[in-house]
Amino acid sequence: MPLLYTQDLRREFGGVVAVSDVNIEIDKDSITGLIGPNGAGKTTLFNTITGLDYPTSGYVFFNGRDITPMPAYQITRIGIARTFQNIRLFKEMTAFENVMIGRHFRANHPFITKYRALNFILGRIYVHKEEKDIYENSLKWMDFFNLLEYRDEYARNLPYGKQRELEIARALATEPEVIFLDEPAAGMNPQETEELMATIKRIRGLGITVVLIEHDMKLVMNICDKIIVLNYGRKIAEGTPGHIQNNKEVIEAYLGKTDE
Amino acid sequence: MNLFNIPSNELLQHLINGLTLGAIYSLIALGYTMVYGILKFINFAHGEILMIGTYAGYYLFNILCNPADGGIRVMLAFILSMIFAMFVSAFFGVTIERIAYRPLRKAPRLAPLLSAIGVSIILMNLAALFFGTKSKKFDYPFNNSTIMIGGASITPNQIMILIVGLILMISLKLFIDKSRLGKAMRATSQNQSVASLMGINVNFIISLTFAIGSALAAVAGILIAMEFKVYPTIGQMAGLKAFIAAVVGGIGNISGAMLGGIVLGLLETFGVVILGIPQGLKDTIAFSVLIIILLVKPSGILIKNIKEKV
Amino acid sequence: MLNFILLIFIYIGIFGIAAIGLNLIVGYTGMLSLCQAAFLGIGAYSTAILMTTANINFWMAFIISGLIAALCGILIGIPTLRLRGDYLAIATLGFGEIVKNIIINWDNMTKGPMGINGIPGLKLLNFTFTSLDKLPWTLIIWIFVAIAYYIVRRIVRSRIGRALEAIREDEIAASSMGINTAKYKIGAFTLGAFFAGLAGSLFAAYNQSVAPNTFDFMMSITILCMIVLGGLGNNAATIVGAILIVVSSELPRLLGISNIIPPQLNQVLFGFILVFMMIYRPQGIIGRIKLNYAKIIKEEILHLEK
Repeated sequence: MPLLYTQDLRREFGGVVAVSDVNIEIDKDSITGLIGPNGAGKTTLFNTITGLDYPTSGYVFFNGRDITPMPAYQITRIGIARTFQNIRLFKEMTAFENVMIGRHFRANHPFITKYRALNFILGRIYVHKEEKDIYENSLKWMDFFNLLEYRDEYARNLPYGKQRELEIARALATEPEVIFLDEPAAGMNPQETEELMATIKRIRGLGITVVLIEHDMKLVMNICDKIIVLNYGRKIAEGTPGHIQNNKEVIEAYLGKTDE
Repeated sequence: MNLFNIPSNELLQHLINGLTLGAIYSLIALGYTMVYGILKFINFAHGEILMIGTYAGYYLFNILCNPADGGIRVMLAFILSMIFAMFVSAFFGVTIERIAYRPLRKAPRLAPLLSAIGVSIILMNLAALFFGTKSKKFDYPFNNSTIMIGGASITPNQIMILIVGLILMISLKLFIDKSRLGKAMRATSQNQSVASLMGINVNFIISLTFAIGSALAAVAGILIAMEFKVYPTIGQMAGLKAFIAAVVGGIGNISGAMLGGIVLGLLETFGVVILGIPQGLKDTIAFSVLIIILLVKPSGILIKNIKEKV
Repeated sequence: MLNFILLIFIYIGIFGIAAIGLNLIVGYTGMLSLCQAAFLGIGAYSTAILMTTANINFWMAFIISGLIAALCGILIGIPTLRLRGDYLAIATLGFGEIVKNIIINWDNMTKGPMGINGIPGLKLLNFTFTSLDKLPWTLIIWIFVAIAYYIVRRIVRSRIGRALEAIREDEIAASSMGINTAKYKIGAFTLGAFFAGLAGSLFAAYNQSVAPNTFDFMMSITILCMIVLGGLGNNAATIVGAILIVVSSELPRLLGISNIIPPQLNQVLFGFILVFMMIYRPQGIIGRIKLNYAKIIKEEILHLEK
């Protein structure tokens, strides 16, 4: 059974159908690419899966469980993380603090949760364990991405490529089973893209499933096990990179019909 | 016909009162909604702009004539005062935008909001200092004796309110929909940068928006001063309720403001009658409507649901 | 003269507590609340009613008032969760007006527009303090200012503070990182309302009377200005802001020229300061202080692992 799959997922905005009865399957430990022309509904699909948006109809299943009505924070807590097309880092916080936020809920010590505020006010005795967990794990993830040198920099001061990596680091700090990357290579130069490819493979190596939206075809064809193609909200093709490259409908979607 | 056990002539009466009130709300609400549509900003000082124009009209009217005399001279004075009030309010609206809001266009949300509140405080208190805190009544330029229609009474003033309101609203709608400037206003409210790239002078359009909204508010203010009275803090409650009307109809939407005003006017009038809400709690109707709308459909009656883009 | 100065300190203290609460809501969590005065009013009236009709002593009334205000904080916090910036502000404004209206019209409980008079003084050990005993009141109030300050400081320097800052910066990103934003937002609102309730309670007990028109929109704005003037998200700066505003309001009386200067002039000045500050120094006089959370944890962990 696939790790995550959607069933007739549909999202309408007023009269516009952004996602139209889409069925996709994500297998464990795979790297799946989601491509399609601009406006095809890729980000909307991400949003409905990750809880930032509610589908008009249809379902999303994760580990056999119906997660369709779940709000974003719950979806993250059960193991689905994501990054954003426009980079949504906490700009006024340092890089380290950004990752700490990612780690936030994972450090929840069951005993403390109810009385944490009181604990902090009275003497911070029991929260020591939680804070240590957050601190050390955040260090670990920053190290994984070789971002330690930027620890105390404000996130907005980081170079663009590093910001994207930081966002991924932050998402990974939530210890997900699957991570959704929305255009992780946007704005990157070829060298950075190479590094990103290596990083994504390392992420898979950790046992985390990857789903990514991308426009950079070289990246997508190179690392994805499976590619899903959307156009006008519908899934028009699905298969291995080789299969997709030769798919007539896909080529038409990107380049337009030749007889028009 | 007997609805809710109320005889039909009373229903008609309440309908008239409600529509009259609603027309006034609509005129004020238009100013809020137009400014919000273009700048995504709530002009907290709108009520005070209304108040200043009203005082201007009041003083001019009483200088130009003696209302008790009646006749053509008084009517002329009235019309002149109304126009004067519109100009004064428009002037204040444009100036305030230039001085207190324009520098803050790129600032975080809180800044222009607090600036507007500051302007509101300044105007209210200056008015109290210059005009005194006692309320003044704007005398009717005509004989305001009631006329009976279908068992309900209506005054010439109410008729005037309804007619003036209707004319202004239709004119505005036509202006926005059909005229070149109106198109420019719509374009600017959709996307400022694109509008300016297409050759629209965005600053001018914004000033125009403030001018029109303020002028309409001045008209409403004079109508209020005639039907009730005017005092330095009248802008507060009137402004707040008109704002609620704008939200109800769908803030940023011109038809929404008109609809919202009428709806609020009717709700307030009928609410008191049907639900038996005591006079003191009348205002609570408006605020409760606000809370309900914000909970159920914050975008207002007329605007479709738009999700934030991630 | 000394009496007057103490009076000023008393009011700085009372508003300071309310302002510290508001700062938690607005400055740290980024929610624009325009109804802090309503919570003050709820606290004040709760104390007034409890002490006059139910004959409860001040200290119990004090705590209960804070809790009632906190409850109302939850009441307004929950429905407004989904509201964004401007809309939230307007909703709180509406809520404030509704509260004032209810207080004025609920004659049986609140004695309507006349207000409640003759609230007994505060009893401590064997002493009873009335509004004439300015020094003891000043001390009592400022002890609570210190407590409020301390509580908010602790919270803000903790995990909770980090979450609030994340929510303030980008609520969507924060919830995508697994943070239950609703819980934190309501929590901030509730605690902010709690402090305002306590402040209101002190207000009522000190003045020994309450009237509904005191707790209006202008008071909410005044408190908001205190935190904006000092610096949003800066606890200490809030006190500075409170001092500045209360002092400047009372300046005419301090200088003895209050006969000549009408109160409206003061308000006009106030308005100008608001506009001026927003255009030229929106971050406030002192500005926001950025906490280095990594450093806080390191010191805390090192401290405990010594």
